[in-house]
Amino acid sequence: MIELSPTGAFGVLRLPLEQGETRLSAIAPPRITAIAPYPGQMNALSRRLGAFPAPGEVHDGQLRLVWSGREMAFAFGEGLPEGLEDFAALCDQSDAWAGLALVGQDAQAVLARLVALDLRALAAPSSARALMGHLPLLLIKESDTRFDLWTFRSMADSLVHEMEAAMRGVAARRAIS
Amino acid sequence: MRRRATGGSALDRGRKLGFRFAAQRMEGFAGDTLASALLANGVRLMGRSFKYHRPRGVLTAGSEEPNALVEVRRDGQFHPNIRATLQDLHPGLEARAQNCWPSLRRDVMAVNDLLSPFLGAGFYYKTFMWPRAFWEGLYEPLIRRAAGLGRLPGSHDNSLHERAFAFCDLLVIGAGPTGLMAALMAGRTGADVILAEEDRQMGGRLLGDNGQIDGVPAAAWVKAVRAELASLPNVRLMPRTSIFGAYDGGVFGALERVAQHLAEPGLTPRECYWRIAARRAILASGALERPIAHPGNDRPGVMLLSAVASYWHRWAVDPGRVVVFGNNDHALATARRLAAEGMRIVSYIDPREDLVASDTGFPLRSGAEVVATRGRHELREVTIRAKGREHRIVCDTLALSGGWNPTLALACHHGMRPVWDEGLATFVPRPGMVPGLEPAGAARGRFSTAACLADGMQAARDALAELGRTPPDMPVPEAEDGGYALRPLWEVRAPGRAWLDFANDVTTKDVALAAQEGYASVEHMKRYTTQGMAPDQGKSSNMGALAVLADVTGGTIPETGTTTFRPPFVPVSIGTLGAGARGKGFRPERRTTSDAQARALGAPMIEAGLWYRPAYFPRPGDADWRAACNREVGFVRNAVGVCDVSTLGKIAVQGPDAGRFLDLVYTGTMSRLTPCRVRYGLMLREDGHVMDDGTCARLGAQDFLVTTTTAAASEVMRHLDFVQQAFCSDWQLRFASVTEHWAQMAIAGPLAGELLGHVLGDVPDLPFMGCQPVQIGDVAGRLFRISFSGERGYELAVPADFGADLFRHLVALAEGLGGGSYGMEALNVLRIEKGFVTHAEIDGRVTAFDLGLQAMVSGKKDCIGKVMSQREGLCGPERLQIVGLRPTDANAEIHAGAHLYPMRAAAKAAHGQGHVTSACYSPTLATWLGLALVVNGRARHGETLRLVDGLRGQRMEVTLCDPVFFDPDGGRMRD
Repeated sequence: MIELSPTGAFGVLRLPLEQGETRLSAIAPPRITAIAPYPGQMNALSRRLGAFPAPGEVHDGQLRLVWSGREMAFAFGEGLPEGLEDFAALCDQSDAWAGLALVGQDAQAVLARLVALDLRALAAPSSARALMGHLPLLLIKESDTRFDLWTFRSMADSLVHEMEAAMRGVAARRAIS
Repeated sequence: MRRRATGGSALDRGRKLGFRFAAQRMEGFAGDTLASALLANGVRLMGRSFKYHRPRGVLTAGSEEPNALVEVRRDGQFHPNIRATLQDLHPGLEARAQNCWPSLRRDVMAVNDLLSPFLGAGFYYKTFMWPRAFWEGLYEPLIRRAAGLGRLPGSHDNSLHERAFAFCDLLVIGAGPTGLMAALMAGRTGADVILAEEDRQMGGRLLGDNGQIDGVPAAAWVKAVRAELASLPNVRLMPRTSIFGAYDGGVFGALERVAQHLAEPGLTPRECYWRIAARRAILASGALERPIAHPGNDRPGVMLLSAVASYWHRWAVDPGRVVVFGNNDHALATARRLAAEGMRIVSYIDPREDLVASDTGFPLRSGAEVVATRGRHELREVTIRAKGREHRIVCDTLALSGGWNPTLALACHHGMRPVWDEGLATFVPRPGMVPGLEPAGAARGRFSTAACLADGMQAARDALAELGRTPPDMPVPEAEDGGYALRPLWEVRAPGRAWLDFANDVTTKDVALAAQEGYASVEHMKRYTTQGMAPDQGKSSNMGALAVLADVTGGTIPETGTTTFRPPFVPVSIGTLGAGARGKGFRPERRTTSDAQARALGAPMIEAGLWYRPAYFPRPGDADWRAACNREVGFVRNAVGVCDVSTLGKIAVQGPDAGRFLDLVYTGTMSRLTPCRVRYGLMLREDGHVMDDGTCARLGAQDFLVTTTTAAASEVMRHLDFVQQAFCSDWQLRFASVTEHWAQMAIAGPLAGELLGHVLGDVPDLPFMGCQPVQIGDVAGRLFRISFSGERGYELAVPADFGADLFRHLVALAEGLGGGSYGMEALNVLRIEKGFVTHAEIDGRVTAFDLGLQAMVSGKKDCIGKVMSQREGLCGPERLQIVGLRPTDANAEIHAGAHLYPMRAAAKAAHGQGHVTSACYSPTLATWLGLALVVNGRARHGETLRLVDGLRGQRMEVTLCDPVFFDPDGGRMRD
């Protein structure tokens, strides 16, 4: 029998990146479980989870529950309560998503180059689904100066490419202002 | 800088800058535009006109400039059609004149001007009718070469472009008196405000007027307001930004000139394309002065009066001896003020008979008109006509003021038309033409400074009320509130050509000719003469042209109407519109976990949707790609091959009703599938044609895994979503894509089991079309016994983190067994040998019947598309049905796309029998093979047809046969 070693989504990419007032780094991948309540089971599921995030919500507790799409939330971390299978479809997505943390004073300016979201309107923490250019994106606003960006693992290279170009442009603007 | 006076509010006289224009070295100051610096250096000839190559100089001081378009060079590249009025001077700026050869002063094509009697509007429609073939080959290239709006660089644009999104409560478009007051009032409430200004400086007309506001010079007032706005964190000032389009939902397109003014831009983008979403917007774009159409009004030195004032005040450009030709009180007041400030105004000409003014400081001629100008490359004198007599005045500059037109284009971008204002002799916008956008100030015909300030505040009050904010108590600043009386003068009737559209060389005679030839509607006139179709979009000519058209057609101006206003309001380069979409930004790349290894092995990658997959794995000594492909086919047929198949779509379908749901979307019955079994499935579209094929594995009682083809994964996901939401939203099931979570490797060949034994410790006793969970050390995986090659085959899935390492192990183990990795080319050969279909065959037009898979459409239940697939014409002998093809000569190359005809029939569409969908050389059978869709193909096995490949010029004889060429009973993959 063979032994397998893991390779992260950003294995060969040069991270972290720093440009001007922003820093981009890979997020250590947590266990991610997609939870999709069956029709009519939302209340029962919410009781077991404590609460099920409404669109845009992020609930921090023992687990982090992040709204991630229509009638779906991602649970970040271990320790999902037992018996949820009766109320929701559970699906392991731990290796499916690649996450980057964008931190810095110009984080919103960088994202304004790529994401058509009004970041002013988002509370912290909160989540949103959007496109980053052509990339599917799950965005989590941690604060005005930190955003976590999740996309499909296979697109990790494109995500870094897009982010680097935007960061470079914003840093260059800052240098001339 | 022989034309430089003292002062100049925009200049930093401490910083001299060297630049080049038309191969001449010159100097300007920081703060100059290219146009102001050229004027200060005595250069008034800046370009040649579009059609007649007439000498042209700058007419305006803003983005509406029709004449002074130049080529700006940088780092071996150049950008054409840069308006000299918007190009800030920077050290080392190199600009060239356009549309002239060999030089600006001696332009050979100026001969066109001598031929002008033959080159009127529409001449080429009538002249170049024959011979017909000459149009594309000779006439059009010649005309295009002679006509000029710059030339394309011919190389890739390497400059950086940027796109960005912005959001605000209130977007204020224009930072003149109206916009500044609106932004100030809204900014003080804490609302998020964006103030966009086309110029590099805020202030608009106030910068060029030199009036007073609240007892201080207007420039000082602007400075104070700007400073307050800049101090407010909720206000974003966007200078050098033109709002070019008003789109749906409060979204505005904006073009920001970011680095064009920098000597060393570094990584700063050249321009930025902003999409600004605003809850409310105020159009404070001001008004544009209009010229007067009189003979010779296009000579360098003829400028708008407002431009003369701007160059004087902002850039201290001395225009020399000035004749002012105006028809309104504002022009006279401006002339008085300029004279008082020391400008040499030698005469003021006004067509109004009853004009009386004293102490003007210059001779005033009422009831007079300019009827001609003289000067070869620039203005030397003008001829005026008063009371029937003509005489000449020597001058350097002729300043025109035909009145003002509100800059209302954005208000018309949703298709509404403006209304005619008789008193102002212009069109003005109506309220509510674009939802959420309200014009204010000069943009709606409030021309005095006091009226603009008050109107800006009122517009802000209205917007703030709609935003639920209380406006602060602010007094209206005191300012000039003069009247604006004018007598419209659209055209001076005198011999000679009077220009309306400077940018496209359209004269009053051209408009009259258009009407005479039947193009009397304003939209037809525009297209016949090309008036208003140049980069300036007729900003200085539209009003005059439709007034002249109204005159010659006997209608009124409001009856004649305007042409359609469309975005963009200012030219936007394609590079900026497509910002970010060059190179890798064009579209995302999806990479498998084995991508780096495949590339390291030298595999050329081919695109499958957004994915990249290895085509083949070359080795030293390979004669060509087919040598590698043949080798890899041999691995699978004789030993074992490994292929990353992670790109296939994987969808987890879970819940008590999952089986019932899959019965609805698949032609087969998946609910009866026992756990740990896999079934081949076919999905139909609602119209009965095949959508996709794949497998469906039952992992548990309520847990299914659906696989799709790589390219159709998103289509299938969308289809499932639609079916669930539209037809069975209350069923207890959910599904999610797990394509990205699992890395999946195909292991195929007679030695596949042996290889698997090395991986898992022992060979699992898994029947064909079985599946089971497996453990590889600490890693939980899934094993499927399925085959797309016709050999004993497995697919082993592990979480994607372990995909790269699994592939590495599998390839090493396969190589140890005499096999290795195989790519898409070999995969394709293997499946063609077995007659397995892909989307080459499932081309959107085929039914299950066509593919010979009609038995898979269960008769015991209904499914999406079943009834429609049974319609007449979708399942009979008239259908194109899948067959195999063998060439009579085994070495004759077949290619997909070739067509099939009866042996003795001509290769015409009427005789077509079908076409080749897939083809390959089979090393296993030592012959070329093909799959084809042929009319009634299943009943024609053994028949010989003629294959014609028009693209490659090939013709050959082929025999139709069963599409399964190799191991037809399937023993190799089942045993």
